[in-house]
Amino acid sequence: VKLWWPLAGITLLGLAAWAPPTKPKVAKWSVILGGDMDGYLSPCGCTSPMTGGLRRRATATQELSFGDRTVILDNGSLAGGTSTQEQMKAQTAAEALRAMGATAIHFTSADAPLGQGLALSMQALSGNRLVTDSVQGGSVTLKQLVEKGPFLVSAASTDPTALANFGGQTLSDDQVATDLVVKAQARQRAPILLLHGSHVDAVRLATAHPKLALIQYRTTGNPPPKAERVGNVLLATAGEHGKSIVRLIWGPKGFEAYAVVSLGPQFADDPKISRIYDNYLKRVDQANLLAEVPRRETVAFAGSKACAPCHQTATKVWQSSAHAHALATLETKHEDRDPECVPCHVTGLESTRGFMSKQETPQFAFVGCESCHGPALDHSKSPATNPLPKVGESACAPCHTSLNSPNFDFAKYWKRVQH
Amino acid sequence: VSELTWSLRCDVIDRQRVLRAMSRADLPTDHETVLSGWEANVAGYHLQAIEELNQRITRKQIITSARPRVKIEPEAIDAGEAVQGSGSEFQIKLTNTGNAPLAYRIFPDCSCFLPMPPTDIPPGGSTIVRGRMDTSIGIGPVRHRLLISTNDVERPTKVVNFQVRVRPRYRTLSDAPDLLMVPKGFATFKVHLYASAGDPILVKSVSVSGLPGATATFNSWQGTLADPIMNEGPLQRSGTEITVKLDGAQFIGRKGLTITAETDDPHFRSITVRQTVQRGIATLPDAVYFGQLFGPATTTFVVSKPESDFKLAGFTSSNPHVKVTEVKAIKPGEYQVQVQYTGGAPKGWLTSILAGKTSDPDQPEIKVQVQGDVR
Repeated sequence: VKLWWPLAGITLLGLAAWAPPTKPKVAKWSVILGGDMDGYLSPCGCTSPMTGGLRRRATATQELSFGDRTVILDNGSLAGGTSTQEQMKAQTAAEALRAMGATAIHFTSADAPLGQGLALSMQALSGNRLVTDSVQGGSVTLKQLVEKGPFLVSAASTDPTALANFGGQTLSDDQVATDLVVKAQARQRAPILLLHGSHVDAVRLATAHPKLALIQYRTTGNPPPKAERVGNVLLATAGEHGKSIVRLIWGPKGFEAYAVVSLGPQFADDPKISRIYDNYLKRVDQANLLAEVPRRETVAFAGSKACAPCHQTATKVWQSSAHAHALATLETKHEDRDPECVPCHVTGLESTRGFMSKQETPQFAFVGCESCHGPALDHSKSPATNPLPKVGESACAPCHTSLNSPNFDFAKYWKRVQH
Repeated sequence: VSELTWSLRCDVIDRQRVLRAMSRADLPTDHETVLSGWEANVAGYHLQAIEELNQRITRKQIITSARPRVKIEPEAIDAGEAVQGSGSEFQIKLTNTGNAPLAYRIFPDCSCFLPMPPTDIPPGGSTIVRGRMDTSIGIGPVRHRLLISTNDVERPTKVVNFQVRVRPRYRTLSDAPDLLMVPKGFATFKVHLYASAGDPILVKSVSVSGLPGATATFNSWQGTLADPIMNEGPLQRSGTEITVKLDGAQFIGRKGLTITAETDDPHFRSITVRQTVQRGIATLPDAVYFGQLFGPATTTFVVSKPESDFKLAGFTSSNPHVKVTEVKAIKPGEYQVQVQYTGGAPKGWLTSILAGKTSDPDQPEIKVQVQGDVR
């Protein structure tokens, strides 16, 4: 017995020393790709279900994150132009992406025409998250690289000409990719390139730089349902207008999961981002942008009331349709002062003789008869000598676009307003 | 599918359960999802089928284990190239290799597809579905999804990916730079509009909006122009030349104007071109915006009049919580102005007007609005 215990102890210690080491658990990373909003900050709420928008994106991003082990990338093109409203959108998007915890926001050649002043404002609002390596130096300091976890992120525009206005030296997308791969190898990081370029450009760069881990490119339509690889390089896009995000999971063997998440109404609006968006609506209202909508000379409108005496059945159908309270729909969403939404919710906003405001022109504060049939004052005075042309499906098309009315089916919708 | 089968087996039509079964289970979310339109259509179609089956059960009709089987060709569509607005046509062949009639519906993810009405396919039969996508919306590569729902229990839904490369129907090329500086008098620039594919486009009228005093005229045109955006060198082209005349006496600062051409093309009745113009000194952006303010913060705006040498100094603020801390000359005619919110303002919407003195006799003072949301 005296010998047995010490022997048993030595054996156990030996076994413990020789036991195969347990592998440390490798933490996985969630990489969430979004962007290419082109000014589509929110569905305007005219039909449902519409997809996309910053408020839903924040909720979805939160749900798909792995806490600190999350990389949120935005491929830029925040605004859809350079007008005052687009400037406000770019500022709002930059602020919202900061609140969302974005790792990097690509400042693309499509954002550059907004100008230096806006770039400085966006950089402040984003908390210094704007990234591009397509221009170096110049009057606006933009980040060239962002490092987080196992990744090194950079960004390039295929045509960097517009960025040259900032006064720095421009680099081709190929130079940016070369630079990124070299630096990533030195730091032992996986290089991710945000690309303001097409699928063709992404394939070209992936072929030329097989050490890249991921290229996020820009496309029209939806993201592909399955991951695409060129060699070991993963190609991904979040699709158009920020209507989807793509979630990737990074594990010990690289990217191991790919999922496209369509930002439908199943994602509730994030309250933090909603407040930022409400401030945007407030600024649009205060700037009275509705008064600056381009208008052209047309013949006079009569208002739907003038049609009712002769077209009683049609009026009845219209009164019970959504068209009759189209502006009210926007009012509930506080979008009734937004010049991007209002044209499809009133009569004749594009005309100098149509809708001005609910107070000035209440007779046009809905989608009335003349929204489809055209201005009809002359017709109402003398129908026989001023017949209105017949209208068909093409009258619906300007408003019921795939962006604003994704499930529009003329045959189905026509039944609701048939007259 | 297992949820649906369970409902049938139990002879219970549980709408909530069926809707749950049809919702997106592939998303890594832990809450119930609301159906999007096309998914609701699929769910509705299945509910209808369930109700029919239930009626048969009530009538004690024997339901044989008939099995339609669907074969879909192709399973992905590459429609090649199409001209913007001309539409892209495609075909899907559906074959029923089973022993019972095959019913199907096609649900595109976009209203840009024309409806594809369903028909039943007898056992051993096949049908060719002819589809058409409206290509007037965007250019470049476009991807969409067509969801085919069938009564083949082995393959109740199948997504067919669709892609097409859309070539632009028309192009507009302006001879003005991105930012056109306008003198105090008149200035003109030209825009060339031509059909880059298909028949010529006839312009019927042209108008300008967004800038007081701007007018436009047009005439037919033929000449040589390069199109760098499309990677095309100088080529012989023909179309319409639009001449825009601006009156510098009628505006100050930086503005955007819109030129609208009404055309005879049924898909593009209005073609718009936008141009940014500036006269005198402009502040960029139009308003200084701090966003949400949780404490002191700084931001920067630019005061610019390219190719001039005006001096800028002496800013005052209408709000004591906002002040200009630095005016830095970047290059001749351009300044970066740093603005600070010093904190302590009451919660709510913050506004201020900053006024600065300039050496430009036409604009001795410039004013900028400041906004923020104090939390």
